[in-house]
Amino acid sequence: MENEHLSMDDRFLLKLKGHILNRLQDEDFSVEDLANEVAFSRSHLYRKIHALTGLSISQFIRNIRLEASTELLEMEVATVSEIAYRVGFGSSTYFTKCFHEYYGYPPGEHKRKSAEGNYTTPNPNLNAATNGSGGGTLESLHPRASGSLIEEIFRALIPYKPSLEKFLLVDEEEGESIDFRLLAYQSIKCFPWPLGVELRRLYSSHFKELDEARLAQSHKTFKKALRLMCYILIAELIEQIKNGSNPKSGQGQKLAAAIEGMKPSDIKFLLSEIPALINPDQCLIQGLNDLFDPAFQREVESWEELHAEKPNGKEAVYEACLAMEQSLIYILKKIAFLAKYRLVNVSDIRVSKPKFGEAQFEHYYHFLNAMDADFKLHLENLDAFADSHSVLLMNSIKDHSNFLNLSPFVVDTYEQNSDAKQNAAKRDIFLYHHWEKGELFYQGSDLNSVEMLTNYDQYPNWLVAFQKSLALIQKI
Amino acid sequence: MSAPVKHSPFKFLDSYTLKDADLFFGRDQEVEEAYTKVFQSKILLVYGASGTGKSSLINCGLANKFSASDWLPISVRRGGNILRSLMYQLERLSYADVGFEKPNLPTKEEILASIQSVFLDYFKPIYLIFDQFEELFIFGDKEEWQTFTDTLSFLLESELDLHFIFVMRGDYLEYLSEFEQSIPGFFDNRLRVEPMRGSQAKQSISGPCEQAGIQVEDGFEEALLERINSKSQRIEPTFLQVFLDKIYKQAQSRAKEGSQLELKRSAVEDLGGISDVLAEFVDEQIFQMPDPKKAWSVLKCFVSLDGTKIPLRASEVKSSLEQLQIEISDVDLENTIADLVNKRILKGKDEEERFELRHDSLALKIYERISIQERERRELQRFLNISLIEYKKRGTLLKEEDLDYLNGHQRKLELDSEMEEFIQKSRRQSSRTRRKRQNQRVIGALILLLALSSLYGWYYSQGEKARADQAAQVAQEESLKAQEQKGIADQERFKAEANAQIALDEKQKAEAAKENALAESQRARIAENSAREEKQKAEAEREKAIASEVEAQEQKNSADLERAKAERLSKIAQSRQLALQSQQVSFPLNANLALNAFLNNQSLGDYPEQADLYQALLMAYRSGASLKLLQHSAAFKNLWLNEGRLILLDQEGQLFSQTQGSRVIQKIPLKVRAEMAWPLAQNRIAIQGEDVLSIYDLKASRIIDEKPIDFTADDVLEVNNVLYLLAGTELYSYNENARQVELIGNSRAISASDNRLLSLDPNGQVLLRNANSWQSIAQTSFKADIMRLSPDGSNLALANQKGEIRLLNLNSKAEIQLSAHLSAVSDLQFSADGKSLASASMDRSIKVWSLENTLERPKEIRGLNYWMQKLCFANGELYASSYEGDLYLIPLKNKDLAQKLCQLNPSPMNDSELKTYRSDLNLNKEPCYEN
Repeated sequence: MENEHLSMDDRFLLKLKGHILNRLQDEDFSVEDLANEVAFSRSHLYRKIHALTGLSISQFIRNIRLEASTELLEMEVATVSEIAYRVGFGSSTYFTKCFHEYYGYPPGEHKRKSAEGNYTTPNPNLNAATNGSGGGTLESLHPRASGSLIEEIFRALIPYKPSLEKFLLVDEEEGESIDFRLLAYQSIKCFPWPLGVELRRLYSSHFKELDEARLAQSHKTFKKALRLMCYILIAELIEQIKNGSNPKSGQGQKLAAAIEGMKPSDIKFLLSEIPALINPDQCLIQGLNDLFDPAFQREVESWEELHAEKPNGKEAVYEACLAMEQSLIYILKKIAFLAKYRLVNVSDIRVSKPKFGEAQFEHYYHFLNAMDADFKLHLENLDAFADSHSVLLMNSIKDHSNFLNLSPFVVDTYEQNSDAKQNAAKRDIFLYHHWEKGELFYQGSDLNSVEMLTNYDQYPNWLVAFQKSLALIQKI
Repeated sequence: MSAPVKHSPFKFLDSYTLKDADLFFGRDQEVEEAYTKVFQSKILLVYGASGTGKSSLINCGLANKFSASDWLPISVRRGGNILRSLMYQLERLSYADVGFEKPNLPTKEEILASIQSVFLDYFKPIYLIFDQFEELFIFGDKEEWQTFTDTLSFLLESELDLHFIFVMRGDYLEYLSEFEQSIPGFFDNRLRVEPMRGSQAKQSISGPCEQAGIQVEDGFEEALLERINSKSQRIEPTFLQVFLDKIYKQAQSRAKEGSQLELKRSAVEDLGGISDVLAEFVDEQIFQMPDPKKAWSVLKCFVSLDGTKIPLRASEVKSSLEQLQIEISDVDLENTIADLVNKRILKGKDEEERFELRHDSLALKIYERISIQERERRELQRFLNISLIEYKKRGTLLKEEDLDYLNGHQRKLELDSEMEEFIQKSRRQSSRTRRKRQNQRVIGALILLLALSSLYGWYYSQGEKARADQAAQVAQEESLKAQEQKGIADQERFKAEANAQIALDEKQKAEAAKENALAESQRARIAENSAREEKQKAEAEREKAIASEVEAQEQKNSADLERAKAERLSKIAQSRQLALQSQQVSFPLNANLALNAFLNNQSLGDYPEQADLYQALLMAYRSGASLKLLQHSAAFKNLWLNEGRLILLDQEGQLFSQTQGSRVIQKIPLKVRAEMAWPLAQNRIAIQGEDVLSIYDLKASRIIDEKPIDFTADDVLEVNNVLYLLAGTELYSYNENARQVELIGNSRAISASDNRLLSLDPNGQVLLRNANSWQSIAQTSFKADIMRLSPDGSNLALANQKGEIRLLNLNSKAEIQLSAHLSAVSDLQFSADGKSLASASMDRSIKVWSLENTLERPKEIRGLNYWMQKLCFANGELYASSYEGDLYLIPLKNKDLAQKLCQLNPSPMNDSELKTYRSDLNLNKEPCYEN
């Protein structure tokens, strides 16, 4: 009955609290889980909670956990460590630290303090614990929100690249803290260049303020991620059709038209339709169809809303930035599995067949997951061959039979006019942008401009590949 | 109301920076080029003459091409030490404490760590811009160069998004050759900044004016450009800026309040030449200073002995003034420097507290004001400083001639106690050396004296003897007279003594002879004999002297010869250097330099087919013309010459012929599809069809024999009317008359010439086919896949899949390893005269060796689009068929290449180019007229 006097907002908060308390012991209960429980997008949920409490989603969850711990502490049902686990903290040290920051004293003193009535008002805005204690460098160069952006994305990458875990190991007793700069550096390298470079820019000191420029860069990064995922899906679909699977949707013409146009609505359409057409067991990229659940659709939609909004005034931009970051965290965490794969360009394959012996195929790879645009050349001798003059997503470069050819949707302009250097064009990795009047348009990493790459040696091959791909898709 | 004070939109002597984007005009094309090139390699070299605006191009033009999140420029000038300055800049940018202790030179690991840290602080690609990089060569020593190159190659290996831009004056490019050795490809990615063309210069006048709302009278630009450089079409942007700044200031001072500024043609007419404007500017500014004389002295310190600017701290100015015996108080010096900064002659303090002149063109103006004596004194001072450092490092003291020169000038110099002591020490050492040399000279003189006196004695004794003979006769007649004669002889003796004391011994002998002669003729004869012996001795001495003189002359001649040889070698080295330099510039300059290298190679009698020269000529030729003769839809699998025509077999199994040099091929009608084809004698061809071997007659255009075979031949040769077929490792013979195929052994490869068939068996035995048996003639451990016998049958060339090539001499059994390819060898061919060997490889290169000169490097044809499958020599040229169906015709003789290059009509070199490449060589502006 009490609830009847509550406002809609209070009821909403109570509902959230209920969801959190229901899964109090589950330390894996995440921001995404909470958003799913209430069928909100991450950015939408962020905006709501922030408007009502001034907290971020993770702060909100943490505070409810801490408040729940006080009851257990008062009842002395268990040791501090046990209570920490019961309220969903993975480590008792971390629990103690958060507790101290929230209440101003350690959990061990809670019973005495509450008995004495010296109950300190909790400080809900103390957020250093989640935003990391990365030290002065991070604070001076990146907005506070980047802390959770960097850390959340980094942590999402660990399951796919366990070697990253070592960067989180610090000796707190020695006063060491996590170097967020290294987390950022390592995360950038986990994503293929077209995405990694946008993330690098977002982390750069140029976008230090939560302002319009940063907002635009966040949108750009989000869009690139969607495009890249779209191309991975298209490549999987084409591969399966080529290999004899015969999906029928009756939407072939519509899909082809969307691939030609590649406008935001087309991207949305493709992302919602293609997952149903591909057989997950035959995909090179594992877990693709887990990706495109209702939550994903919600996130894309709210990103569109955010994109359409033109926030007015400094504060509105600031808020929009924070909300946008939530969307970005969502999508980058979702596609963190890309860390398992390497994007490579096979610039050449040379056959050498000795008189006595089997043929060997010398593959000239450039790794396109890199910090540095001067992609390193790598030679690999294999007894069979991969596709050449193509950009491939590979499980392992030693495994030539297991790759997803992303050409002509992702292309590398490295192999250019070796004889006529003066005409050589800029070396870059381009993402397909759209198709118009029989020509392919691409977007490189350096500028916002969209260009035709007709001068490149490989362009005719890209054109043929594109047309054949389209023809295959039209039939389904 | 007064008009708002406007800042000049012109830069005077300063370079443009990031914030000047609105004012920077006329360099769009260069900026685009720089922006493309900066991504092509980690190193970009930007060079050009002083005053062409290199720094502005990078710091303003290029910088504004990047978005702010993709560009973290770190500009580094050498300062006191290039690495220390780099570290200083990194520390300045870094948020983290990199913990570098200043007194030590940073190690390469420390520098990398700092760069990494800066990257992590900013997450932007780092561009290290080494501006005025020539300062490293002007002011740095070899040790500094070395540490810098070491560090650079270390940094290039790192994974960071790190780029290097070197900006330097073109006339110091030659120093970079040392860099090229440790950092291959240092020159590969480069941008030459030329002075502006007329249209660019006009843009750079009208653009800023438009931005600043300044009116420009019609014809003003043309008049100004005409004034700056009426002869040449090129304009130096620095001078243009100096003029514009002056005109702007005049216009500003004349403009009425509130009215719009206008740049007028009449203002141009009032101007002098650029030299005058700069000199006038400096004179004017200095004249306004409280103590112009002192200001000049201070200013002169900022100019090097080469007339370039030097960055200096105030304390360094003070000590260099002290060395010139000019006294100045600290306060005075500070005020003077501050004044010079205000007057735009010096730039303000940099981070290392150094001041410097605004531009090299100012340095030149000031340099002209330094008197010859002053320059001499400065030079001497610098020489002494360097010598002292040398002495401290290696203990080398000053030489005698240096000390002699110093004697005349020392009083003009201000020397500190350390220098004084060094000079004293040098003097002591020098006088010790001098004494030692004097002693040697005295001993030499004594020996000479001895030789001379023997000679004199002999002459003297000849005379004495004649007199003694006479006296003896008289003595026989009259003893009294003899006594008198003796008296006379005594007198003679005294005379002789007086005349030639130095020949004392001889004289005594002569006296004895004379006395004996007085007593008896016998003794006189003995004296004569003895005198004759002396004469002979003296003669021998003289001959010896002449011989040593001849020897000395010969030595001198041979020394002259050696010197001439050394001079020639130096010129040869310079000529080769020129060939290398030509490869760093574009057409037509590369053609002119390569042709000049060629002419010098000829006139110096250098090895005419030198590989570097070939490379230079070929590169120049390829920048103006293509080597590609024709393009075919399928690759040519085999090609050979048959009676002056080239016969080609393509991948599709079709046969073609081509008249030499023609760009067209004609199909040869075949009834079968040829898997492969080989040349046989008498216009015949062996064709491998499907399970059949056909013999085709080219003249008759028909198949004359067919033999079904159940294998596929990899190689077919004809020796003494028998065909030999190699299939896998099985070797068959086929007698056309008997029409019988017979397995005759196992082989890795076969080759034939002069009716001798050679086979390389799987164990490395080289076997000669002899009647119906095999005879082993050599053995090799080299696992060859291709084997070719030279036309005269004396050499065997072998190659394998690893790219290695060996030459086995069948007479001496000596095996030479030729420099290998990077990838598998696809073909190997001897020229018809057996003097050259060509190899093609999957590394996309062709190498051609001269077998008369295997120590010389092979000529190389690199940078081909695809790898070459087959080669064929034809009259000093080489046909090569590519994997993609292209047919190349490659000239091999340097002379032929030079002629072909001239047919491209390269326009002649201009004076500034000629000046840039000046050397001891004869450089010809239009080398084709000489050629």
